[in-house]
Amino acid sequence: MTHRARFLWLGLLFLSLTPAVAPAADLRFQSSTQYLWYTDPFKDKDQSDLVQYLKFGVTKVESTGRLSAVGYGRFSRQFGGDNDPKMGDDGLLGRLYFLYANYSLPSDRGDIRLGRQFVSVGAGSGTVDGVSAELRNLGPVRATVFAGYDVRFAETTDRTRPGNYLTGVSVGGSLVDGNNVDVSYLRKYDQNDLIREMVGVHADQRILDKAKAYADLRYDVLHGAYSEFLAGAKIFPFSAPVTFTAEYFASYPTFDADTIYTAFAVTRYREGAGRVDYIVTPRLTLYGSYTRADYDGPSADIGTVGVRATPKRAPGLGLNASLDVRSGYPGDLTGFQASADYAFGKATLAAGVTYDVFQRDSMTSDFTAKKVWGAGSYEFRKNMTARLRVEDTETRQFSNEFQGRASVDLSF
Amino acid sequence: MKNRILRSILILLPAVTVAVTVFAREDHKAYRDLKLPECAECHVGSGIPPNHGGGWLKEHRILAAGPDRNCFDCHDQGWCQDCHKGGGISARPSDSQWKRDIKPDSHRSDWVSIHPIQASSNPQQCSRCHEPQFCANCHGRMNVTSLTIRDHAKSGGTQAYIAAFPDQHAAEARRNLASCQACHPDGNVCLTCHSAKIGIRVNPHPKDFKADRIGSRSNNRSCVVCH
Repeated sequence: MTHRARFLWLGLLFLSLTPAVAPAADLRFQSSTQYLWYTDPFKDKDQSDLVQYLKFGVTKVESTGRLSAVGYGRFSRQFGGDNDPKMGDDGLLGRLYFLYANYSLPSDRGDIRLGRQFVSVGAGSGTVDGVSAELRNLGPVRATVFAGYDVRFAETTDRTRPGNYLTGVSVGGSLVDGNNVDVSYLRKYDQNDLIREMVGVHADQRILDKAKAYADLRYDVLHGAYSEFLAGAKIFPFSAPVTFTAEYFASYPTFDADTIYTAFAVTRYREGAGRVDYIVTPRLTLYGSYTRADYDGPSADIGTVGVRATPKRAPGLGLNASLDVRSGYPGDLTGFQASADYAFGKATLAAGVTYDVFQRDSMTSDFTAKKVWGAGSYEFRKNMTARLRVEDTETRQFSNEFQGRASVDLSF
Repeated sequence: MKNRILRSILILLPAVTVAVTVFAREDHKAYRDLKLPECAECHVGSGIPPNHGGGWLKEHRILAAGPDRNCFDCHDQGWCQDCHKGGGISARPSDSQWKRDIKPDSHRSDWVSIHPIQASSNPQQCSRCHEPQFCANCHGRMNVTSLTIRDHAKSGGTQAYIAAFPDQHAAEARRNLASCQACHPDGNVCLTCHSAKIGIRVNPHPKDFKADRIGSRSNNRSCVVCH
């Protein structure tokens, strides 16, 4: 067992033993025990997993209440996956999402965290086994800094190696009323070699309380090119909550410098998009968008309209529906999704359907995929709920791909 | 010099004091149980556009990474990890799954077949959640004689790309190089023609390629593969 794997399993063990290690503190605990079944598309073989999720939050560890700790992870055991080289000998897997101690600075000035955690600045994001500090309310200035082992999640592992590091810093603030400016910097190492060096710049400005303009840039220092650029504006001119959004986005895909793809020429992707969000009433929301995508030559038109509703005449009922249409390079897609959920007493029922017609590229014919799902839950006690979800999908490979999950969720 | 520093402090002090009181970030912890459309009541009145709308999946990245983010007033880090890394402790009824991992809503119906279309829209969006190895895990197990995409149309018993579409190879690869990496993670197949050591030695670099910068900073990590 490697050092990193040992850290993971120790972390998960710590999660499961948390009630014993902090008997005097205020402890919140959440657990979900799930049985999932599905078909492995490569083997056309039924498989299943038993998964145990654990999440905890512990506060009031000491008298000032500034120190707290949180953790989230899972164990899983696969059945029917014999001879799968990616699984361990015993089919057991573990994943530790986060496990860190948090110290809150006085006067809400920020937080210092130690342990596995999700980190994010404008120049990039990731998960680290390390330390971070988030400082705020320092006048108009805010700052974030982090450093640690770079945790890379793969299908069956939290892949980390000695020499893989992720570090970043961000400094931002409000220069004038309604304004935000932020400059960030990120470095990623693989086996002690620098493989990614990014600078992020963000600025936004509110205008007359009726609009907001923003721009966001990610510059790849190693490649000497901007990797992503976004400029946009949101306008909400009426007293009714209607928001118009217009955006221009350009992307120049760059790769980590540990692969030869980092040295290959790529073309820029550009898109212009317009979107409308209209909250007609707190019970009815409409939205629609149009995007023109340009692939340095070929192009595509992409549109979406959707609705979310909770009808007054049917308390407990929620409805969602959307239509997506895509035409052009590299393929076409016309898809419809609808779902409904209904809560009554201690029970909830939900169901949905997805219907997609797509053509992957000009050489292939149209395919149709359909998905139908149903779900239900029942709250046995305030802190105990059982859930069941089943799904049947008609795919290009299978006329019926049946999958689902049953779970018992606890919290205390 | 001393005077200059003192003068600067005197000028900056009022600005900082005003900024502390005026630009304090709104604490949203008290509103965490509101329904999303209800948030608009305050947002529109205070000149801040409502968020979590129809395009939220796409636009949340900027706000979540921004200097003024307040995601954690309502969410913990598990909220990020559940979508980005497949966690499922708070899975909703509508959430589907890929094996043991929960999938976000964007991964619709027959996602195995549809994802190449979506992946081509902004070629960097997949990497926000997935390492390149994630793609290779599946693509490495595919039956290459059954591919039905233009890039690798059948040519005899193989899926030889160049034999089928020699004129389109470069354009297609440049538009979505990540799709090449999905099946050829080490890029060895590219070296058949693009190595400086063997073969026909076709230069794959862009016109303004910063060879020195990449080489010197990354310990020539990728350079030595071809040179």
